Amino acid sequence: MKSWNFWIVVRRAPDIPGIWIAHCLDLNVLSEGESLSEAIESIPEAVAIVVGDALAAGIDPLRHRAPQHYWDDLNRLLRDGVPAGLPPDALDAQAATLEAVALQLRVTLQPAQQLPRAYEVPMFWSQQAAA
Amino acid sequence: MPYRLTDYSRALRTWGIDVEACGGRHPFKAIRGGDSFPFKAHNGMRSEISDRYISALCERFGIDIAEFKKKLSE
Repeated sequence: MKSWNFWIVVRRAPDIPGIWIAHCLDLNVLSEGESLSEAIESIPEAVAIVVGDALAAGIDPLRHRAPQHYWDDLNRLLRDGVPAGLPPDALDAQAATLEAVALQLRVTLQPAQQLPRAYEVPMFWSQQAAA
Repeated sequence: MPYRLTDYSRALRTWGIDVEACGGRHPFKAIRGGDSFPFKAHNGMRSEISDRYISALCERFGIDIAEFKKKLSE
Protein backbone atom coordinates (compact mmCIF):
# COMPACT_ATOMS: atom_id res chain seq x y z
CA MET A 1 0.00 0.00 0.00
CA LYS A 2 1.50 3.33 -1.07
CA SER A 3 1.76 6.18 1.41
CA TRP A 4 3.32 9.61 1.53
CA ASN A 5 4.30 12.07 4.25
CA PHE A 6 3.42 15.62 3.31
CA TRP A 7 4.63 18.78 5.05
CA ILE A 8 1.97 21.29 6.02
CA VAL A 9 2.57 24.88 7.19
CA VAL A 10 -0.33 26.85 8.66
CA ARG A 11 -0.32 30.64 8.88
CA ARG A 12 -2.84 33.46 9.06
CA ALA A 13 -4.21 34.71 5.75
CA PRO A 14 -2.50 38.03 5.11
CA ASP A 15 -5.56 39.57 3.50
CA ILE A 16 -8.65 38.01 5.17
CA PRO A 17 -8.95 38.63 8.93
CA GLY A 18 -9.63 35.55 11.05
CA ILE A 19 -8.71 33.02 8.40
CA TRP A 20 -5.87 30.51 8.80
CA ILE A 21 -4.40 28.96 5.65
CA ALA A 22 -2.88 25.47 5.60
CA HIS A 23 -0.34 24.96 2.81
CA CYS A 24 0.78 21.49 1.72
CA LEU A 25 4.27 22.16 0.41
CA ASP A 26 4.75 18.80 -1.32
CA LEU A 27 1.69 19.36 -3.51
CA ASN A 28 1.51 23.18 -3.40
CA VAL A 29 -2.17 23.09 -2.50
CA LEU A 30 -3.98 25.09 0.19
CA SER A 31 -7.02 24.95 2.39
CA GLU A 32 -8.26 27.16 5.17
CA GLY A 33 -10.41 27.56 8.25
CA GLU A 34 -11.80 30.11 10.63
CA SER A 35 -9.56 28.62 13.29
CA LEU A 36 -6.15 27.02 13.27
CA SER A 37 -7.60 23.59 13.98
CA GLU A 38 -10.21 23.96 11.22
CA ALA A 39 -7.46 24.77 8.72
CA ILE A 40 -5.49 21.71 9.86
CA GLU A 41 -8.57 19.51 9.66
CA SER A 42 -9.42 20.78 6.18
CA ILE A 43 -6.11 20.27 4.41
CA PRO A 44 -6.32 16.44 4.22
CA GLU A 45 -9.39 16.63 2.01
CA ALA A 46 -7.72 19.13 -0.35
CA VAL A 47 -4.72 16.82 -0.50
CA ALA A 48 -6.97 13.84 -1.20
CA ILE A 49 -8.70 15.66 -4.07
CA VAL A 50 -5.42 16.65 -5.71
CA VAL A 51 -3.79 13.25 -5.29
CA GLY A 52 -6.93 11.40 -6.34
CA ASP A 53 -7.44 13.46 -9.51
CA ALA A 54 -3.78 13.11 -10.49
CA LEU A 55 -3.72 9.36 -9.97
CA ALA A 56 -7.00 8.92 -11.83
CA ALA A 57 -5.44 10.72 -14.81
CA GLY A 58 -2.24 8.68 -14.54
CA ILE A 59 0.00 11.61 -13.66
CA ASP A 60 2.47 12.09 -10.81
CA PRO A 61 0.72 13.88 -7.93
CA LEU A 62 4.08 15.15 -6.65
CA ARG A 63 5.05 17.15 -9.72
CA HIS A 64 3.96 20.51 -8.27
CA ARG A 65 6.07 21.22 -5.21
CA ALA A 66 5.90 24.63 -3.55
CA PRO A 67 8.69 27.07 -4.46
CA GLN A 68 11.92 26.91 -2.46
CA HIS A 69 11.21 29.93 -0.27
CA TYR A 70 8.28 28.06 1.32
CA TRP A 71 10.62 25.16 2.14
CA ASP A 72 13.13 27.60 3.59
CA ASP A 73 10.34 28.95 5.76
CA LEU A 74 9.51 25.41 6.90
CA ASN A 75 13.15 24.71 7.70
CA ARG A 76 13.30 27.90 9.76
CA LEU A 77 10.17 26.84 11.60
CA LEU A 78 11.57 23.39 12.33
CA ARG A 79 14.89 24.83 13.44
CA ASP A 80 13.56 27.63 15.65
CA GLY A 81 10.07 26.45 16.54
CA VAL A 82 8.87 24.62 19.59
CA PRO A 83 7.94 20.93 19.25
CA ALA A 84 4.30 20.67 20.21
CA GLY A 85 2.83 17.28 20.88
CA LEU A 86 -0.69 18.61 20.99
CA PRO A 87 -3.81 17.81 18.97
CA PRO A 88 -4.85 20.58 16.56
CA ASP A 89 -7.83 21.74 18.63
CA ALA A 90 -5.57 22.31 21.64
CA LEU A 91 -3.62 24.81 19.56
CA ASP A 92 -6.65 27.07 19.16
CA ALA A 93 -6.34 28.20 22.75
CA GLN A 94 -2.86 29.49 21.94
CA ALA A 95 -3.58 30.73 18.44
CA ALA A 96 -3.46 34.41 19.41
CA THR A 97 0.25 34.12 20.10
CA LEU A 98 1.20 31.78 17.27
CA GLU A 99 2.92 32.81 14.08
CA ALA A 100 2.89 29.47 12.30
CA VAL A 101 2.46 25.74 12.79
CA ALA A 102 4.14 22.94 10.85
CA LEU A 103 3.04 19.34 10.81
CA GLN A 104 3.30 16.23 8.74
CA LEU A 105 0.32 14.56 7.18
CA ARG A 106 0.46 10.90 6.27
CA VAL A 107 -1.67 9.92 3.31
CA THR A 108 -2.20 6.28 2.46
CA LEU A 109 -3.56 5.14 -0.85
CA GLN A 110 -6.40 2.69 -0.41
CA PRO A 111 -7.44 0.11 -3.05
CA ALA A 112 -10.46 2.20 -4.03
CA GLN A 113 -8.22 5.29 -4.26
CA GLN A 114 -9.88 6.75 -1.21
CA LEU A 115 -7.34 8.67 0.76
CA PRO A 116 -7.87 8.60 4.51
CA ARG A 117 -5.51 10.66 6.58
CA ALA A 118 -3.78 10.66 9.89
CA TYR A 119 -2.05 13.52 11.60
CA GLU A 120 1.55 12.96 12.40
CA VAL A 121 2.74 14.52 15.60
CA PRO A 122 5.16 16.15 16.34
CA MET A 123 4.00 19.48 15.18
CA PHE A 124 6.14 22.57 15.54
CA TRP A 125 5.03 26.11 16.16
CA SER A 126 6.67 29.46 16.37
CA GLN A 127 5.51 32.36 18.45
CA GLN A 128 4.28 35.56 16.91
CA ALA A 129 6.84 38.33 17.16
CA ALA A 130 6.03 40.90 19.81
CA ALA A 131 4.59 44.12 18.35
CA MET B 1 -7.98 42.99 -1.42
CA PRO B 2 -8.99 39.39 -1.92
CA TYR B 3 -11.00 38.48 -5.00
CA ARG B 4 -14.07 36.27 -5.05
CA LEU B 5 -14.27 32.78 -6.44
CA THR B 6 -16.45 34.05 -9.27
CA ASP B 7 -13.54 36.31 -10.31
CA TYR B 8 -11.15 33.36 -10.19
CA SER B 9 -13.55 31.27 -12.25
CA ARG B 10 -13.88 33.95 -14.92
CA ALA B 11 -10.13 34.48 -15.08
CA LEU B 12 -9.37 30.74 -15.23
CA ARG B 13 -11.69 30.27 -18.21
CA THR B 14 -9.21 32.38 -20.19
CA TRP B 15 -6.83 29.44 -19.91
CA GLY B 16 -9.51 26.83 -20.57
CA ILE B 17 -9.79 25.83 -16.92
CA ASP B 18 -13.20 25.12 -15.41
CA VAL B 19 -14.26 25.58 -11.80
CA GLU B 20 -16.65 22.76 -11.06
CA ALA B 21 -18.64 21.49 -8.10
CA CYS B 22 -16.72 19.20 -5.80
CA GLY B 23 -17.77 17.87 -2.41
CA GLY B 24 -17.19 17.79 1.31
CA ARG B 25 -15.37 20.74 2.84
CA HIS B 26 -14.23 21.90 -0.60
CA PRO B 27 -17.35 22.58 -2.68
CA PHE B 28 -15.42 23.70 -5.79
CA LYS B 29 -12.26 22.81 -7.63
CA ALA B 30 -10.47 24.16 -10.66
CA ILE B 31 -9.58 21.27 -12.93
CA ARG B 32 -7.86 20.62 -16.24
CA GLY B 33 -6.89 17.10 -17.09
CA GLY B 34 -5.51 15.48 -13.96
CA ASP B 35 -4.49 18.78 -12.40
CA SER B 36 -6.97 20.04 -9.85
CA PHE B 37 -7.03 22.78 -7.25
CA PRO B 38 -9.77 22.72 -4.59
CA PHE B 39 -11.37 25.76 -2.99
CA LYS B 40 -12.96 25.78 0.44
CA ALA B 41 -15.66 28.24 -0.52
CA HIS B 42 -18.70 27.89 1.69
CA ASN B 43 -20.24 31.16 0.53
CA GLY B 44 -20.43 29.74 -2.96
CA MET B 45 -18.96 31.61 -5.88
CA ARG B 46 -19.05 34.82 -3.83
CA SER B 47 -16.53 33.43 -1.34
CA GLU B 48 -13.41 35.52 -0.84
CA ILE B 49 -10.22 33.74 -1.85
CA SER B 50 -6.97 34.87 -0.24
CA ASP B 51 -4.20 36.12 -2.49
CA ARG B 52 -2.08 33.35 -0.93
CA TYR B 53 -3.79 30.97 -3.37
CA ILE B 54 -2.73 32.81 -6.52
CA SER B 55 0.86 31.64 -6.88
CA ALA B 56 0.03 27.99 -6.16
CA LEU B 57 -2.93 28.05 -8.53
CA CYS B 58 -0.89 29.64 -11.32
CA GLU B 59 2.00 27.23 -10.82
CA ARG B 60 -0.33 24.25 -10.99
CA PHE B 61 -1.81 25.28 -14.30
CA GLY B 62 1.25 26.92 -15.82
CA ILE B 63 -0.24 30.41 -15.79
CA ASP B 64 1.82 33.59 -15.65
CA ILE B 65 1.00 35.21 -12.30
CA ALA B 66 1.04 38.78 -13.63
CA GLU B 67 -1.32 37.81 -16.47
CA PHE B 68 -3.64 36.07 -14.04
CA LYS B 69 -3.75 39.04 -11.68
CA LYS B 70 -4.53 41.27 -14.64
CA LYS B 71 -7.43 39.02 -15.62
CA LEU B 72 -8.67 38.92 -12.03
CA SER B 73 -8.91 42.67 -11.88
CA GLU B 74 -10.69 43.13 -15.22
